[in-house]
Amino acid sequence: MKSTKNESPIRLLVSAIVLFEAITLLLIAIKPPFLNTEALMLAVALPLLCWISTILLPKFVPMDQLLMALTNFLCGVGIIILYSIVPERGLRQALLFALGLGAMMAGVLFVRWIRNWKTLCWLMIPASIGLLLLPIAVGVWNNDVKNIIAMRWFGNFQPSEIVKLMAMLVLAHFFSQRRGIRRKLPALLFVAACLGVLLLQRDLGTALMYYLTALAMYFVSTGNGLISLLGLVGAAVSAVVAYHIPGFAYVRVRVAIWRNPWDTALGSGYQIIQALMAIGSGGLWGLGLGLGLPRIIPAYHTDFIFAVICEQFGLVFGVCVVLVYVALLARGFSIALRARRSFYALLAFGCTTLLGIQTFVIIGGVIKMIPLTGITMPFVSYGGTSLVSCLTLIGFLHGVSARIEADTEQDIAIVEASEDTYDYDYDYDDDDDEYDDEDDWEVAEA
Amino acid sequence: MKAMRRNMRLIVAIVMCLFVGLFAYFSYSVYFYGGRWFNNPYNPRLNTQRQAVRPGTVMDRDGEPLAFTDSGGTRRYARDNNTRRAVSHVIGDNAGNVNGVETFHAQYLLGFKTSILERLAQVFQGGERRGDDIYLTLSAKLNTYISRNFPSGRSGAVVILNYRTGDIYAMVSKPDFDPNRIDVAKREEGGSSLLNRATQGLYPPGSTFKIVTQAAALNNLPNARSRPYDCSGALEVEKSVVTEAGNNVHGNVTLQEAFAKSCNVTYSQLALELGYDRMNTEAAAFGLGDNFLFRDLVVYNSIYPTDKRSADDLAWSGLGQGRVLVTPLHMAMTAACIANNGVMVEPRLLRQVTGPQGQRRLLGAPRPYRTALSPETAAALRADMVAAVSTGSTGSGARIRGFTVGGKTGSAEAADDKTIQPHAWFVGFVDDPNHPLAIAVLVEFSGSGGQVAAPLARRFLQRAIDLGL
Repeated sequence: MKSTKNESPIRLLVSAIVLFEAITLLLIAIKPPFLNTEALMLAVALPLLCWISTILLPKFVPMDQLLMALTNFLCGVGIIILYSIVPERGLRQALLFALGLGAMMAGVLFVRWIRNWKTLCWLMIPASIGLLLLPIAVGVWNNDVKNIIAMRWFGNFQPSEIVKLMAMLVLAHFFSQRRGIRRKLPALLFVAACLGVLLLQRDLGTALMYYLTALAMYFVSTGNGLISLLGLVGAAVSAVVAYHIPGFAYVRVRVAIWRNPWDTALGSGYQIIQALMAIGSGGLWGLGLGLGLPRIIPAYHTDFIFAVICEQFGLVFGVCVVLVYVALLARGFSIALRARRSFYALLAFGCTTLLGIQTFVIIGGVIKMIPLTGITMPFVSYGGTSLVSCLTLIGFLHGVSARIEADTEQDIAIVEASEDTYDYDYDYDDDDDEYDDEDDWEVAEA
Repeated sequence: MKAMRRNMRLIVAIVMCLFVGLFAYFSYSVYFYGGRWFNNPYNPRLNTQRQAVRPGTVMDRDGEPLAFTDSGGTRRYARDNNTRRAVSHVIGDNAGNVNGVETFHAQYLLGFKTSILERLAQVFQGGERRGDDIYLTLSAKLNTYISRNFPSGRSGAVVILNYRTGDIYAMVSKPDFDPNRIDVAKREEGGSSLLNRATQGLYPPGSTFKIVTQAAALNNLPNARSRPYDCSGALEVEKSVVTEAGNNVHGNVTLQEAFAKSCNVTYSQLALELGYDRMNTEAAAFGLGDNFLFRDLVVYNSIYPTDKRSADDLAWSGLGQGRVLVTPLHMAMTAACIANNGVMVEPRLLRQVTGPQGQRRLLGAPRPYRTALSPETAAALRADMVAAVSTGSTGSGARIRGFTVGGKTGSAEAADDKTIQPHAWFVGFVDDPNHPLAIAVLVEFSGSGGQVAAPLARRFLQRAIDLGL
């Protein structure tokens, strides 16, 4: 916010993104046979949205501009690609992006201003489980997985995406309690319950994401390497078990496809082969926006959107997109490392890890590095719930970043006010004794 | 908090490592497989491009058109009936039934390699978009000759290549098909004529594999040359007995004599003495078990068993039986490597690619695929192979007047039923700087290599020399 030093690089970055979005959409707009006014409007609206969210909004709401710019780029790429293939989907994605920015604002304010997390977290536990149970009761099967509720006016709704947000808050809250397993127990039980329900939905991809994130948060908060390692081994063992039991037969199919998709090029390997061919077709610099045959790939707009990006924009651009993810993660982790209190540190860390694992699992799956798991590519994939929830995760990160700045300002104010009577044991206004923060002055000292 | 930050840094490092791995794998797989992902018959983009671009012409090394698009936009193949069939597997078809040049080099033929400047030039000149023309290393005349003189009614494959440059002069697979009537070929016998046996047919190499066993012995046993070998006509292993062809007993022989007489007992003994590890190392040096990723053509991987199943299996592997499997092209490369001082050159099919305005595409120089042997071992093996043809009884059918020919025959048992004839093999080379030719001939279920394959090799090599190759 106040960092005038960083102002101009950010502006440069934002200008580049705005330019990219405007040019690509103009290109779609002037594509023969006629001038596409809809695309023209989008070519104005999307850069405007980018400018508002990265330059204008941070003046009123505390936000991290770099994080916002990177997020904007990824969302912009998703909207542009989707619009070039199916305009209606691109428009819907753009609307959801605007909605998601709203949700993000809510997330920022939520983290910045809420003081009493205890009651809230206890309330969120049953709410989460309830939401996760919904698809089992009223959901529809979607490729062996039952994780979606179809609603007439809202489209598809995936509760696990929303529960993701609550889980981050709940885990950060309980794991930041002072040492002792008893205090952390509710979180562990909560994770176990979530995993159980997700397994009932047969949604192994999401279960894997939840589990690995929870494990990373557990390790970070306790430093117990042995148990964390055991947890990792346990995950591997259960993966092997899932491979062998008939209830998860699709796991075996996925692994077989991963090992050699070419044997079943027209059957079960069709998807991944179409994706690989799309990547191979793009070459280094791509076939060009709107060219190629993206619609050949099944699920081109959700799971396989990375293959479409590679086909149209080329491998160099594909690598750049992954680099942007890495930069985003690095920013998130740096916020987590700068946080003063363990709750905020864990929250920022959890959100970033979750995004990182999700990105790795889906891109790794599309390029056949690991077996494919049907999850969305954060910010880019078509899908309302996913986009909104990922943006809210970014909102949490902004919130934590805002807390850090507020705390730093407070420190400076205190130091300036009473240079000689500085007291290391100063209690922050809302410091909760439950949290494990006895040494949070060390940053101020540094 | 301090401990927490330390733990966090650890996890951050792990996550970043994951992404580094992602980049590494992505670059690796796109670099090595990207072209294969694109140029494959399942890729619908190729057909789409065919609507927009007039595909280029495929010609043999002398410029004879083997596949071209006529003014009406129909893809046509060589006019001469025999030529069309002789090169059918190399050319393939554009519907993706056979993965030949038409599919595997579609990126050239369909103009995917055309640069933006060339595209602009085409736009200004007017007229339709054109793909690149391809000159193959193949000689249509030699292919046609081989195809016509192959034993009629037999299946098999012949490969002739230049052992210095890797240029493939001939690659014939039998039975062949007529690309103009591919539906007929697909119906007959489940489409088995569509298989390119030279690159996709995995056969037991039989005694031709003794080249590899011999190399392993020369490299690992210091006295391999000097000591005597005694062939009693049969060698009992654990569960099976290795016998000689025609129940011969070779008696006391030197290593070179054993090679020339193709003594099974000697080579199974050598395999047992060397053991799986050293045999496997040598086989791997020749490229068995390697994932061939050649730039110009797809070749199935050859197999040497690595699971150490039994002594019987090991003994039989020494003479190329059991679970050893190779393609005829790979055996031609093996012979080529002996003639080329132990360096195996990557086989090449593209001689030149020309853009629509006559500009040449860069194809890269001939590239050594791997060094299988030291020059000394290669020279020793070359002498053994020359002796097998000039003095031995097995390879005598391949002698060419005025030229030094080296080779090895093979009669590979492919069925347990003794009434079924073995696959006849001959692999060899012409040791001549002006005609650096290597050959592999395989005739399925037709008899002994010496009687069937060696005389064919002589005719085909003679023809190649006559054509000035």
